[in-house]
Amino acid sequence: MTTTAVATPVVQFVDVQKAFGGNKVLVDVSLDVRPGFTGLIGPNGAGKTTCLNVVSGYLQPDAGDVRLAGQSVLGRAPMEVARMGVSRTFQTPRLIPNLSAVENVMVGGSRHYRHGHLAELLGLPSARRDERVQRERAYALLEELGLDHPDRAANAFPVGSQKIIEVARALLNDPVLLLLDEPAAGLGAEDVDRLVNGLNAWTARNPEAAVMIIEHDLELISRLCPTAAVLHFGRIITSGAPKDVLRDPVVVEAYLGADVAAGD
Amino acid sequence: MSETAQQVAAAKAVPPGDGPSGLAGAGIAANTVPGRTTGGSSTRKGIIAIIVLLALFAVPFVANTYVVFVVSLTLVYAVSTLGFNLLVGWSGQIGLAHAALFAVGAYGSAIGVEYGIPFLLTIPLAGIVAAVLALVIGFPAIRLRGFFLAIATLALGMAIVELLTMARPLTGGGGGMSVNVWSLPGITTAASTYFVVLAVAAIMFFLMRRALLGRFGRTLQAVRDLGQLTGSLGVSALRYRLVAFALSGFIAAVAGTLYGQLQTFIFPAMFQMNLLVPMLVMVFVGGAGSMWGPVVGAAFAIVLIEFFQDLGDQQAIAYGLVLMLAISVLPGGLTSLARRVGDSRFMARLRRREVAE
Repeated sequence: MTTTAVATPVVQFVDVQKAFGGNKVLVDVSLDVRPGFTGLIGPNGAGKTTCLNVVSGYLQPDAGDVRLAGQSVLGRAPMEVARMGVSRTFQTPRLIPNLSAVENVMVGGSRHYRHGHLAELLGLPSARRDERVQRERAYALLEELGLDHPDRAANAFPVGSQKIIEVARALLNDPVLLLLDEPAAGLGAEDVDRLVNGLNAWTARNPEAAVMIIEHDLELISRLCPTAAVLHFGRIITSGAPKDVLRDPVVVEAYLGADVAAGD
Repeated sequence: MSETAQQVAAAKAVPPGDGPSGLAGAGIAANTVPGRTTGGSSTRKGIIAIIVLLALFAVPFVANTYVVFVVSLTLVYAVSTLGFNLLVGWSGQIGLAHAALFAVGAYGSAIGVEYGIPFLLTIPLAGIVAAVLALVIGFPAIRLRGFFLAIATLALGMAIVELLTMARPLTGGGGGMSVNVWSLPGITTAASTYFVVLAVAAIMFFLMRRALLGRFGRTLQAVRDLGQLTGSLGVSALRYRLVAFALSGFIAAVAGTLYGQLQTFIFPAMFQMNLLVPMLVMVFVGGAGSMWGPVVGAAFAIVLIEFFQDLGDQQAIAYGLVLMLAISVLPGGLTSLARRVGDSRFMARLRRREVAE
């Protein structure tokens, strides 16, 4: 881990511990996530998703601290954390099935709506403008991520495209920290390319933002992330450039051992 | 702290369609939604709305008193179902206090008029009283789901009707009370009530359509389908569930005030299971979570009520059977039929043939 700060970390995990009953999922996680892409990899059950749940307010750690731009997120509800600029996606996409893709994306814009529901009810110009701007931004994001037919109902899309819609929904809030939980699982090669291009375009526009990616597709991690951290049995065992990390004998052992144990 | 603030500010400062997203912005024009953002279609919808309103406005001039009464009742049920559907269909909460809140509207307005409040003013006032009551019911209820929510709200609803029965000096107890019917000068009472009902229905549907097809409706559906995960979108699921309760209660009572005017005599037994079950039928037959389902459901229920009139106590069973049938055979309600037909293979073949020719 670097001791000299290249850029201020967007999020810091400081000695985070979390146990479910007697099962210690996060033993001691310390990690600085800086602007740009950071991969979080590790075998199944290493605690990757638990890390995301701790940052996004869904779980409270037993010990340690998680700081977003220096400010602790502990004790805050997911909604408050989201309002601080943390967006996330889920392993299995969760969309409103009968709404169109673009309207699903628009649900993600809570930080940008300045009008209240009363203004909307009364059809005030500010509400109309807000709504129009959000719709245009939602279309633009879906376009950037390469999704065709943005007006089709969400449940008419294959799972891969639903994940893309979920990413666009997370981006609509202009997050300071974007958390992607296995974004490429279930995506075809073409979709992965679109996702990579879209995310690259977005980070180019938002150089201050950090993107944390949990992914089993290590090629995707190598393509996107200058650094990757490896989580194993609730500890960060190493972090660095993906190509170095993946050659690390400790990592290889962790992965192979786990893979054999998991049988896949 | 200041770091976050700056980043937030920086993020907000990026206008849409600026910089690299400019190329994406170019794609927007090509992707315009037909039927949502295009001007032509919304004018067409506006024209249809005006024609329907004019046709409804003409009813008292061309139809007899009975028809006027039936259409009035349909509109009252449609407004009531608009509120019930908001709670059950859009926010996904099976709250069963709707008939009781409807009663609060009917009684609230009738009592208010007796105390010298102008009838038209009692419509929003009764709505506000019911909204507050719905908040009280909703506050514990929004933490419950499914079966438990249904039972809790059903019990609280029954308690409200019981309270109305007990408040004999105000409500006349189980024997009921007569309602002072408000009337416009120069026309028959039936026509006058009809115009009030029509005006209220038009306003309610106009406003709710705007809210439900906009951000409010989207967020409600997100709360329904995503539950607590909406937190990660910066949305408080509990708050929206509570607002849905309050708004639904408000609309129920507004419909209730009009119901009292139509019936001219109200008693507690009108607002029990024998009303709640048909109300559920209206929601599910029309289509839970659909915009115009309440109108279709109310019209269907009116016919049903006429059919089942002679069944007496067995009515509830008959409605229950209809409800079960509706949910199992047509879960999307009658309004989903149009879409289903449109999506069917038969229609696809027709379209292909048209293209070929």
